[in-house]
Order: sequence, then structure tokens, then C-alpha cells
Amino acid sequence: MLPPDLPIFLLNALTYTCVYFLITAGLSLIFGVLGILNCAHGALYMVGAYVAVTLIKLFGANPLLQFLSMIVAGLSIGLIGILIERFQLRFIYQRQDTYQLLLTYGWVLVFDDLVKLLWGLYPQAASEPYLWAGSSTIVGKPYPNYNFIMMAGSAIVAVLLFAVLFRTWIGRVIRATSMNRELASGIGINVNRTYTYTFALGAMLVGFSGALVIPSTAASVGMGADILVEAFAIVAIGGLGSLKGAFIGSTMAGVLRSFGIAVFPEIETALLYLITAGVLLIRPWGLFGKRLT
Amino acid sequence: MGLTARLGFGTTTLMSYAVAIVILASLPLYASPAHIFLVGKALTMAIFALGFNLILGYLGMVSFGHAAYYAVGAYTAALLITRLSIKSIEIVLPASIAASTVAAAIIGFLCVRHTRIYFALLTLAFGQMIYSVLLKEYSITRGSEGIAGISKPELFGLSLAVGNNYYYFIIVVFALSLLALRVIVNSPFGKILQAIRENAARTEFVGISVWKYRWIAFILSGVFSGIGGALFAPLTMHVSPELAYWTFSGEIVFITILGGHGLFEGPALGALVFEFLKYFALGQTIYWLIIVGSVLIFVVLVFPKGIAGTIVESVRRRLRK
Amino acid sequence: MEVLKAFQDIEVVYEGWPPLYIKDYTPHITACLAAKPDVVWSTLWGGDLMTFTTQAAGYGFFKATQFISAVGGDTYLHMKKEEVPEGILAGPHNYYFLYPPWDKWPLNKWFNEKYWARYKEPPHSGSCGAYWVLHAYKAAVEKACAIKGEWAEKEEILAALKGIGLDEPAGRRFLRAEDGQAVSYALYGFTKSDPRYTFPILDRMEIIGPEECGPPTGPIDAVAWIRDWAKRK
Repeated sequence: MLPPDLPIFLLNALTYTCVYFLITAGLSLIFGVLGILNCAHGALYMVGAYVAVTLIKLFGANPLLQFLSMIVAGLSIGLIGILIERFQLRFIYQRQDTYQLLLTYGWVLVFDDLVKLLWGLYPQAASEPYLWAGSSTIVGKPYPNYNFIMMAGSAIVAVLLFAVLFRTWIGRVIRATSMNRELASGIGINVNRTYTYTFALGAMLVGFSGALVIPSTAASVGMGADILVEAFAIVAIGGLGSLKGAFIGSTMAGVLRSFGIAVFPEIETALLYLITAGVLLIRPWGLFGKRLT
Repeated sequence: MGLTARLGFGTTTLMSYAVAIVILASLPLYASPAHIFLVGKALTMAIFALGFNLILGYLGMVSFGHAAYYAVGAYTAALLITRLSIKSIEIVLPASIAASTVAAAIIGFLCVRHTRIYFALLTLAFGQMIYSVLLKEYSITRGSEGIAGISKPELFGLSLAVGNNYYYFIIVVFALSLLALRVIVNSPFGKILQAIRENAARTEFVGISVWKYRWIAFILSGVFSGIGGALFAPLTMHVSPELAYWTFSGEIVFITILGGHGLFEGPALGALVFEFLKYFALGQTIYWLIIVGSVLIFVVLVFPKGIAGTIVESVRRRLRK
Repeated sequence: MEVLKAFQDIEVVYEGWPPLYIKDYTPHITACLAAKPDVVWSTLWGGDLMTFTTQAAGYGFFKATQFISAVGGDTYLHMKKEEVPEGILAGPHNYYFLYPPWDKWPLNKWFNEKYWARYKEPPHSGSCGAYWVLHAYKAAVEKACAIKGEWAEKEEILAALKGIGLDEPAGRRFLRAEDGQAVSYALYGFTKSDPRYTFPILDRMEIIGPEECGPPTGPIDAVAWIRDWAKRK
């Protein structure tokens, strides 16, 4: 039984998909190149959101500066990513998976409190851009324009991402390293530096997405944990290391989130995880993932 | 001599355990009710962690959804006590264990054929599913409110709500769990688990059905998780869906590694240290997570074998000289 | 839910239970609107209500249905009037800074002047509640000590507290002698933009007196008690 205002639900699904893709593309990229599942990804999302709140509030009534501040927020998270990678992650690449998970999880705890320390315990809202964007009418119903801005922002970033990965030298280096570490290092690629760039890139993507959603929601301390488990589910479905998989998984998650409550209210919270379990049971490495030996 | 051969560990270990139990039991003589509560809670986590370590330490697999079984144990106990007004813990405890064991058996069956990251992700997905059920089924579980007013039951007619009786009960269950797990771990079964961890392919070649052993270990960890959860419910008198959320699963992984997952008693130590760390950190500042997170990062970078493991290592090294 | 079913002419078309502190209500908003309700009743409050109001406004929620915010009166005092659409039926927790009207009840005027000067924002039901509690305690202590002639014991102060009736910024409030239950009126109004303030105010206020909405003494079955109202009206 589909809801009567189908276009509204579809637009929402598209909006969620775009944001999810930015988040999971970074996560998948980091796994594909560095081989680690970044548990701090959600925390980086959260910090990006908080930084954006501060910057947006700084620029009062100027929408252009407010949007610029979102980009700045994303870049700053990239910087944090560089610091984490160079001074911590680097030392445990040799160790088992467990330690990588734990180290990144340790950062989750630290960031959770850092955020409380710097921004206080209460959710922070910065809805100026959302209000400024206003609403337009879709099939006779009002629809918030900010969602279109989110879609456009994500699309632009996604295009930039693909441009970097497939049209630049650094992108080729990243892809080569993800395919085969030893060979890449054998032909002279500085694998360490590539790791740093990739982690920074992933961090930038997720930091920017955190900044992007801020005007429509509010920055709160729990947002990192909630988004992380959804991101994990998405990359599990799509296959770790695959951008195509991240996109397919994001689409599924976006559709579920938009239609779930209307169509399957009883199990809507569990839906995403049911699909994750279903996919993993049939194809353990996700839809487009690499087989791990 | 006969003891060591039969159980896999000898009188020295038993003696040290006995000493530890005596120390724990003597706590009410000089500690405040707050501290007794803390240790009681830590012991339920210790049971959980010791069982969890069967998978993490001995099998080498990380499960990110184990909180679900603790939660199932806790909620079963909560429902039996509040809804069905069952007062006897000799009924509540086995029933809760049965529930968590069934959950672990079903989910474990589906998960153990996968390894490493995908095992972690699959267990995470199932853990979240259980969380969703606890959250959504308001009519049974009261959703995000949780179940409150869980009174302490009776043990064969003896009220556990009086004085420190419940605390002593927890100690007894902890001691039994400790011994049971020690026997399991030192038995041929335990050795096979470690062999699987070291080289699963070779173990398979020797003729051992690897997935079956993994499954049994998973079920056993479910048993002890359920025990921990069932003890937890009357202790704190309130359960909520967050007990099944992945962050709590992360906490148990952290505790196990903190204490040292290579050592049998490590996770128990980790649980005690973690609860006290949380308690004292909270006493100093509300920003206790930074402390805990930094400790974790420090431990991972500098002490890969955890606290207990590192101490044991350095002691061994010194003894060898 | 059972409460609503007591009113026979109500049909429930949608129920939404978003978890506390969730930051994105849009799936619930769209699903709720799809059910085409005439009236939406919500107990969201605080940061959750702020986020919900901002998001729902984008979907024309408040034009499509009549939104009733059971406890939103206090929350809306903390939002900007541009953020809150007009016409939302909201109720604060038993005190609203504009009632009783300042020209009719000088105590409220005095309270507001002091509060605004000190905190630069309107007093909400928590502020009046804090005032009432301390005021009541002071009055009880004074009464008990006057009777006794010297400093009174805890039990004597407690006895003096029951049945106490005082003039408050909110109006007259009292503690029932039978069970110590504090009783006040219920208030609600429709949100409206007012040039005098940066936040939306409540307009067209209606009061429901304590005789009608105060709980009966003794243990009660909440659902049965509310069903009684349906029969009364």
C-alpha cells in the first residue's frame, strides 16, 4: 500500500540517499585502501555538524557565507583525519583487525566528550539556511527547498569525488593502492602518504555531510553513534571498498527511511538490519564487495 | 595432581580464586552501599565479558552485537518478575539463560560461517534487530521507557532483597561461572578453539568441523551473557533497550581488551577496572568519556596485551631471568 | 491511545513514536501527512519539538492540519517567531507569563518585571514553579513557627504546608489538605506573532479551572478519569 503523496516520499528518499552516499563513500574508500573499518566515522560526522553550527551562527544572515562555512567544516574534518591517521592509526596497521576497530572506537569516546566540552550538552541548532531556502510546491503540497540544496550539494561533491578519483594522478594512486598494496609500493607509490590522503578524503566527505544536514536537523551528541551503525549496515550491504556498493546501499537505506514508517510501521527500525543480515547471509562480502581471503 | 589432570588447572589457581572470592565477599564489612552496588554491577559485566572472551580471546572473532544476549537475559528476567510476578530466582535465572541461549544459538548459527569483518557486521546487524524489537514492541517491552520496578527475587524462599543478600548471590553465581568457564577453556574443547584461532584451515584438515565448534562457543558465550543480564535486571531494578544497542556491545569489547583477552581472568579484571574508572572519572568530571577513550587509545597503542596481560608478561619475563 | 478512543467521534488515522532525541522527523512528518489527519496531537517538547517544528513547517504541516502541542507552550518561548507558524494550539505547564493579565494581577506584573530585568527572557512554568515552591515553603515555616512560638520540627512544617493557599504570579495556588496535591489551572492558546517580542506568544487563551482538570483525591485510574470528561462535556 503506497502512500498517496508518492512524489514527496520519493524526493525524501532521494535526499536521504544523497547524504548517506557521502558518508558511506568515505567509509568504503577508507576500507578499500587502508583495509580498516573506521569506527570513528560517525564521530567525525558529528564533529563536522558542530563545527558547521558554530560557523553558520557566526555568519548571521549571509546565506552564501553560511554555505561556504559548511565546506570549511568539511575541510576541517579532513584535517582532523590527517592528524588521526599520521599520529595514531599508522602504528597499528600491522596489528590485527581488532586493534584498528578499538583505536577508532577510542576516538568515538573522546570526540563524544570533546563535543560536550566545547559545545555543551544541549543540541545545537542552526536552522537559518533551512528557513532562508523556504518551500516550493510539489504536486500541490509544500516541500522544503533545503532538501534540494542537500541533493545538489551532495551531487556536486560526488562529481568532484569521481573527478578526483578517475581524472587526477592522486586518484589513480589511491585506486592502485586499493587494488594491490604491495604492487603499488613496488612501482614507487608512497603508500603511507596515500593512506593519509585517503583517510583525509573520507573524513572530509563525512564531515561535509554532517555540516550539510545541520540546517534541517540539530547537532546532538548521539548523532555519531546512530549514523555509524547505519553506515556500517549500508557498506555491509553494498560491499566494503566498493563505491558502487555504497551507492546501492545508500539508495536502499534512503528508500527504507522514507517509506518505512508509512508502509511497514511495525518493523521500520529493524528493516535496514534485516536487509543487511539477508544480504550478508547470501553474499558474505556484500553486493559488490571484494572477496576477503 | 589428579585435580589438574581432570580439570585442566590445579590447586594454585583454585586457591587464588578462593582468595579473590573471599575478598569480594568481605566487601560489605568496610565498603559503602554505593561501592557494593558498583562491584555487583561490575561482576555481572565480568561474567558477560568472560563468556564473551570465548569468542574474542579464544576464537579470535570480534562480535559487535553481543549486548543483545545480555539484553535478552535482562529483559526475560524483568518480564518474569514484573509481569508474571515470579518471585523465585531459581526459576527466573534458568529461564533467562534459556532465552539468551536460544537467541545466541539461532543468530550464532547464521553468523559463524563468516569471518572477521563480515562476522562483526553480521553480528552487529542482528544485535540492532534485537534492539529494534525491544524498542518497538511497546506492549511487551514498554519501548524506550524500559521496564522498571524489578524487585529482587527470592532464592528458595530466602529473600534476596534483605541486606546484602543479592550481592552475595551475585558472588556465588560469579564464582560458579568463573569455575565453569575455566574448566571449559582448559579442556580439549578450549584447546580446539585456540587451534581454530591460530589456523582455521589446518584445524579443518585435521578433521574438526570448524563451524560447529565456533557455533558451540557462540552459544556458550550466549549462556554467560544471559547470566550477566539476568543478574543485572534486579540489581539496577530497571532495564531499557539501550542494553542491546551497539555502543554497549562496543563497551564489552573494550572491557575485554582492556583487561587482557589473552589471559583467562583478564576480562573480569577489565570489567572491575572499567566500572571503577567510570565511577571515579564521573566523580571528578562529567567528561569521563574522554578519560575512558584516552585510556583505550593508550592501551591499544602501548599495551596490546591489556592490563592483566602486560602484567603477566612482565612477571613471566622477570621470572625467566 | 485508549484515552482518545473514549471519545467516540475521534478516528485515529496515524500513530508515530519517534525515539527521544531523534534528529530527523521527516519520515514521520510525511507519513503522518499522508494519512490526512484533521488534528495532530503531540507530546513532543524541548529540543525535539524545536526540530520537529522547523522540519514540519517546510512540508506545510501546520497549514495542512491543526497541530496541538500538549506541552509546547514553554518550548515556543525559546524559539524565534519566524520559526513558529501561527495557529498552533499549545499549552505550557500551568504558567504562562502573560496570564493573569498584568493589569489585573499586579503580582504577575511584578514577577515579570523582575525576571526580564535579570534574565532578559520570559519566565516559563519552571521559573514560576520554583518561585511557588520556595514561597510555599517559606509560608509553611512561618506558619508553623508562629503556632509553635519557636523553630518548628520537619513534621510540623509539613503539617503547615498542607492546605496552604498563596497568591502567586500564576494566580491563586493551593496544596490540597487531603493528599498534599498542588492544584492549578490548565491553560492553552494559539501561537501568534507579536511585534513586541522576538518569540511567538499564545493568543486567544483559554483557562480550564482546577475543579475541572485537577485530579480527584485518592488512587485513580487515569484512563477512566479522562473518560469521565467525555461524559461531562
